[in-house]
Amino acid sequence: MISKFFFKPIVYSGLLIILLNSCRKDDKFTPINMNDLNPDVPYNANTELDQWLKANLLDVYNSEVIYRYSRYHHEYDRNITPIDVDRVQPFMETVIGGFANPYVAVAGMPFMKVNMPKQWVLYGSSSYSSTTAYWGSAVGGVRVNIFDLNNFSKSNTSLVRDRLGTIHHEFTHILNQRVIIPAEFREISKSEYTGDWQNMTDAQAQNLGFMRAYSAQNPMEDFADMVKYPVVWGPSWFENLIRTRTSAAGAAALRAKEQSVLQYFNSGLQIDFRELQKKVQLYLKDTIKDPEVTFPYWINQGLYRTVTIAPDDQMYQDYGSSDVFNTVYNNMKTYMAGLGRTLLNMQLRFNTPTSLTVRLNYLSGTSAFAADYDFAFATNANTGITTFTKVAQSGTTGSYSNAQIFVSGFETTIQAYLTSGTFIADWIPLSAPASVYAKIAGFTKSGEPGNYFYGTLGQTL
Amino acid sequence: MKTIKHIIAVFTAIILLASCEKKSYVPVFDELPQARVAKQIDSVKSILTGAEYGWIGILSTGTGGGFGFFMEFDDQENVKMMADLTNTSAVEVKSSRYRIRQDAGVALTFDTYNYISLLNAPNPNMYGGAIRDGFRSDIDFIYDHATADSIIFVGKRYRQQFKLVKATAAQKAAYYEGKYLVNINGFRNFFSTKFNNYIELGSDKIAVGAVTDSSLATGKRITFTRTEDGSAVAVTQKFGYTVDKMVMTDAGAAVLDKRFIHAALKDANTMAIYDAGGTEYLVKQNPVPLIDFLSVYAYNKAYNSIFVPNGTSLPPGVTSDFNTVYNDLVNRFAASGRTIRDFEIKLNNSNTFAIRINYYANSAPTTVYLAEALSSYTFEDGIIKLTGNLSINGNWNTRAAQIGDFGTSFFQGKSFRPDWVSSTVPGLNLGGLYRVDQPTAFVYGVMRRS
Repeated sequence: MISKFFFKPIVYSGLLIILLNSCRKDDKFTPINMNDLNPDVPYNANTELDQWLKANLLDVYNSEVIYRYSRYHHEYDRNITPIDVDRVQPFMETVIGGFANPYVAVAGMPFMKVNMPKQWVLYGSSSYSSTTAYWGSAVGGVRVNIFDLNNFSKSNTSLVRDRLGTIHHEFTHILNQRVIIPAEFREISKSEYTGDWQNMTDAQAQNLGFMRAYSAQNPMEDFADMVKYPVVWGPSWFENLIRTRTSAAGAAALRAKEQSVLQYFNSGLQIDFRELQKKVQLYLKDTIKDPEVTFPYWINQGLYRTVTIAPDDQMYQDYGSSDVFNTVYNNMKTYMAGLGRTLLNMQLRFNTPTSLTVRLNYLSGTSAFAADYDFAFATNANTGITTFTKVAQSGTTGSYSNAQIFVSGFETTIQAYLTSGTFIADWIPLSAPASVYAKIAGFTKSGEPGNYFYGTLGQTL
Repeated sequence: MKTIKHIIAVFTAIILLASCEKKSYVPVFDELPQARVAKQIDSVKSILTGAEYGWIGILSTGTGGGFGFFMEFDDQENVKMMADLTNTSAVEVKSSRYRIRQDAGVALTFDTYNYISLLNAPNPNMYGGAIRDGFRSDIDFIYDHATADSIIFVGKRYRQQFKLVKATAAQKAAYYEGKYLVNINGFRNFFSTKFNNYIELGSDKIAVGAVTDSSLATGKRITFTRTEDGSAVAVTQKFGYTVDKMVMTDAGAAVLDKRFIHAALKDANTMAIYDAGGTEYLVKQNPVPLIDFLSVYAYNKAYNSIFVPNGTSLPPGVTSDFNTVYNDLVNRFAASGRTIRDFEIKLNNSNTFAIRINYYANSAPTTVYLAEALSSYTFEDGIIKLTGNLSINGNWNTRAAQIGDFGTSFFQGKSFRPDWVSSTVPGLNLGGLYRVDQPTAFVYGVMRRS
């Protein structure tokens, strides 16, 4: 007989045990799991493309490329066309050449292993929100969606620039999550940002100090575009924008933003922005053969009006010079010295894209003078091939009268040199630091790499 | 007594709580969901890759017409495709990737670009779809069911049917021999050269028309039209081309008690339409449209205007006493140094009938003048009766010497019976007003709404 004292504790303990046991899950229960039947990335690495992607992106950067369409990677309410499989490798080669490699070169592989987007999702068509087409988006600092690739071709140089620009733009957003954009950048165009940017033209926005209307929506997009355009479209494009499309206030804003971006990269990220810019520009020029990033193109656009060659300057000691040209120049200098004049420099002055004046700046005593010689000029943006042809002088007084003093010496030295064959116009010398990329340029005699001359570029005559 | 109560309470509690004890998971079906879905995925893949000679597909789109495909699936998730979207897609095989996966059911996803992607394209420049929406067609297709020779999917988002039927060896060979485009062009040619097409359904004549291009709003659609109680009743069905047929989407077109499912060319000039029971209906041509003219002609119907677009000559191939009347008018204008640009008879509204002559001086051909005469009219029992005198505008009065009695002798106060007009040149869509007092005299032109 259980005593009354123990009866209740025993009963309630028993109840508790039954209660707990009755609700115990049976360990034989198997949860429903469809993950294996619908993977985010359908790995089927049997094709050459899959192997190439693995070897060049997954193994190197731990980045996976998702080119097989999944609706779950984009906004659910949109129609987005899958990418043509033939476009994948050419596009990713461009990503490596025009984006990853330049960053690796200037920031190092460890930086890119950490910061390279971990997922590249590629689509064939644009992504439309309403009537606005989007070319890219960055998601969570991990994924980059790139749209509208079904027309992609490396031979379509403007499209390469567009897509490469999208990548640099989106990657800047990712970098901004690591190092926030400078506070002073947000202040530069603070009063100009607008939610109504879609009703603004690019020209209107540029006049206010933006790269385009899209940049005017907020500082984040503005900053990303301030990286995208100078890096991909290039420093000359940026200079030309300031020259042709902006007000004084807009130009000042762009200059201030440019400095802020430089500071952000150089100090915040410890990345040489100019070096990055140079690497991308050289990829576009030399690999993609984009004519719109070449020196001849910008001569023909009327951006660069002068090249000043002064072989006595320190620059030539630092970056090197051509013995052949130096001999020509010094012969002229000697000739002029024999006439009591001191040659200071030689300047190519592009009156038009087809008309050139070679000006010799010199001293007579302590007074400065110029002697001008007229040439026809032609330079090809695709090939760089350039010809100088002496034409009749267009004047007889002033600098043309001065030219008569030295004409026989000029004809046998500089004129003979310039008209001796074709030259290749380019951003030379390549060994010059990135800080002067597109600030100096020159001409190399065709087929003679050691025979060249270059100088400082100017935008006004 | 208290102890008994405790014991009863304890046992009651034990029974109550024990009833909640979980047993091990017992699936309603014989296998877990993932196992059953995996089997279905394997099954669908097996069906698709098991068709030795590929598949012939017909896809309906949400806002466009229907489209035809030839597809071959391999077990490495590659698909080869031809389609009736463009002339190129009908002759060039394009390869892409596909996969079968679990979604809202088992889904077939064409996961890299191929011809079928164009119907989904949100950029109008790609294939002419609407911006953002394309043709409202899918990339993902959910498996619906399969039969011995078919497999049917439904678009995941736009719910359009995609039906694939196994091709025969001969059909596959025909696709690879370029006969797909030949068949497509055969239908295009038929409908661009044969007019007033119809089939006979018992004593009924059913007009048959088709838009053979791929335009979003009207393309790849076939229309069956009959007259019922004086009104036109039309049934429109989308279609896609196969290598030997024009196949209507979904269940076909239901007309009266028949369901038409496909059409085929017996030769370049002979087309037949087939119903679900396999009965053949030859497509014939009528000299004039089959639709009762009065069902489409009135001030507020499909046509309210009889139009002569080239004002210096009436539409060709028609014999009417009006020809002389009109040509004299043209000549009088020409003699005065003027040209009739176009001519129109229009029912402005329920009681105003307009005779409109647009003309210009040859010395200044860009300045066009309108000479217009208006009349009251009634339209009863199929007869248009002009009442009262013509009311003319200033230009009609100014050009009185050229117009002469054109208005007063042929139109003023006259009664007309509207009807189609037959021409020796087919496809002109001509209608006219036949003078009741002189049936060989009828004014005619191209029917339009203006």
